[in-house]
Amino acid sequence: MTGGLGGLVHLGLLYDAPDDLVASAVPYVRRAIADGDEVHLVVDRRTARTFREALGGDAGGVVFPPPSSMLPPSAPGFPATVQSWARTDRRTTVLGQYPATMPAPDCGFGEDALNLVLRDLPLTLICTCHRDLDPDLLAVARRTHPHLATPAGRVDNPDFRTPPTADPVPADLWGAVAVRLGVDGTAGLAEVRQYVADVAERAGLTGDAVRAAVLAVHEAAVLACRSGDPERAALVVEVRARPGHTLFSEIVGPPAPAESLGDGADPLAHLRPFCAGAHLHDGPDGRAVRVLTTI
Amino acid sequence: MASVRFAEPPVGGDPRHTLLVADAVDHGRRGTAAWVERELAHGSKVYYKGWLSDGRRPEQHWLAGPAGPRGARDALTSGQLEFLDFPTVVARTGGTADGVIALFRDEVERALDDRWPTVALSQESPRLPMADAAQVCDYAAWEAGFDVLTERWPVRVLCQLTVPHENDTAQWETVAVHHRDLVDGVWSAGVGAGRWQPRGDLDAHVARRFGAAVHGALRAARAHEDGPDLHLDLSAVDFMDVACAEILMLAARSAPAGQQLVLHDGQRFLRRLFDAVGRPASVRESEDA
Repeated sequence: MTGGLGGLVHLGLLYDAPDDLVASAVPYVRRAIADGDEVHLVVDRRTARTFREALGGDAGGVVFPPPSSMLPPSAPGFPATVQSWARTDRRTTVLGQYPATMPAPDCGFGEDALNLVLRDLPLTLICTCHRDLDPDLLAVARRTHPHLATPAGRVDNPDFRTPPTADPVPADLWGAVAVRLGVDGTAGLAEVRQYVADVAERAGLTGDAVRAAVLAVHEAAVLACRSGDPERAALVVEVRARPGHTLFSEIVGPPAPAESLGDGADPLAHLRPFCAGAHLHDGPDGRAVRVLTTI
Repeated sequence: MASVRFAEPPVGGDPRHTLLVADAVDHGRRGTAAWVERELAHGSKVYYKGWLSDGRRPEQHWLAGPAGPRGARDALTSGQLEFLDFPTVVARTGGTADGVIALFRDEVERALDDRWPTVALSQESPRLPMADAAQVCDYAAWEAGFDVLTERWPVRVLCQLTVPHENDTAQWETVAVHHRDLVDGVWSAGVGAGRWQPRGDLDAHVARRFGAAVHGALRAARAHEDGPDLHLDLSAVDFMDVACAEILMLAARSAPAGQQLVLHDGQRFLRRLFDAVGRPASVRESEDA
């Protein structure tokens, strides 16, 4: 929900050598520069040198942060880091390399988080993975990217699997369900806040971090209520926790009237400062608002 | 297990003039019944103004039924509780502010002459049309009359606002006038040490009424001898959402030049919220921060 900037483009790029990586990536980088994107290529020095040579004069429009400056997908703070890259006035393109030592399960968790709750951000993320890395890590790269960047261009990824968002959700993705309750309208949100605060504290949040988590879920619920009559809208609130890692909340309300959709403004802008990621999905069966808080 | 804390109307203690807001009729009756029951138990003389269906007697009002306060039926018989229906109030007072105030003053004086130690007055949601400025002024005048009663005598007043019974203007003005002392589900408001103090949870469900109370507090501060700034004590706010934060900041932004909102105490997180929604120059921290 970012107006005319478009949502997340999440590309996987599998390569055998730096030249291979650069050849596949350069068309995307050139297009991003031409479109006015902010472009970050977070790669090792040898690959950076190859990129500079391939881009020639266009390399001036690119930033090359050191790999040590970026959290890998396996880090708990990764979704929040990705969130911080988004701009309101232009798209951002970031290319990064999978570290060889990254734990595959945690990497999969971080990548799934992007697909679930950050897919409305104006970002192009190109995640590159050397084919010689741990097979489990390579499998994660194949499973978590809807499209692949290849020398022949962007292709659909047949191995991509959408992370499940409804029951049965694997406990290793967002954790076990800590709270599931139904409330009617905004009058029931005080009860929701109490439950979220309890779960957040048990998951390891403290002080203002608890308040921010509670506020983000509350605002998501208000948004879900507003797709119907705010005083009567029936909501189902589900909160999952991975202690020490994440708090994931999904609030499902009535379907929004068609005329209220797509006015260009970001309906989540007011709650984004208080969470690591948020996503709104309007479907014929209802409105779902998802909020991710990292711990 | 999480539990939600609801504010309850105050009982006993110093004279005060409180508004009890209820989203639904049964919620209002529960709070009112508790208040009347406690006042009866404290030995107060209780005057109650309410609505009666055509042809019904006070003994048939809900107050004397199973949902009413314990002891109400006996109190009606003994005279500790007196009931008057609104049509009779209008007939006796002409429906004017002066007439209403005179009626209540006479009742208070009569109770004190009869040696009741304290007097408790409660009236159900009056369903006033408040169709024009004159009617709003009249309403504000008679509510000010309650303030005079509580300043002069040992009188406690519980005004009731039943939301489904009142139009938007009536809801707004009723809450604005009562900003000094109101109870509304999970939030309430009061005044202490020259500061207006909202308490509890301020969220989208009560945002419009919170806005009315802020409006009333700003309006009263402009007329106060220590004004025009409104000193806001945030120490008892447990939760505030974006809707209420925006209302507060917008109210401060649209206040007349020279009037400021001065923030006292409260969570650091509230300041982060105010900054996120946009804090205008007319909002400042107190010097004791």
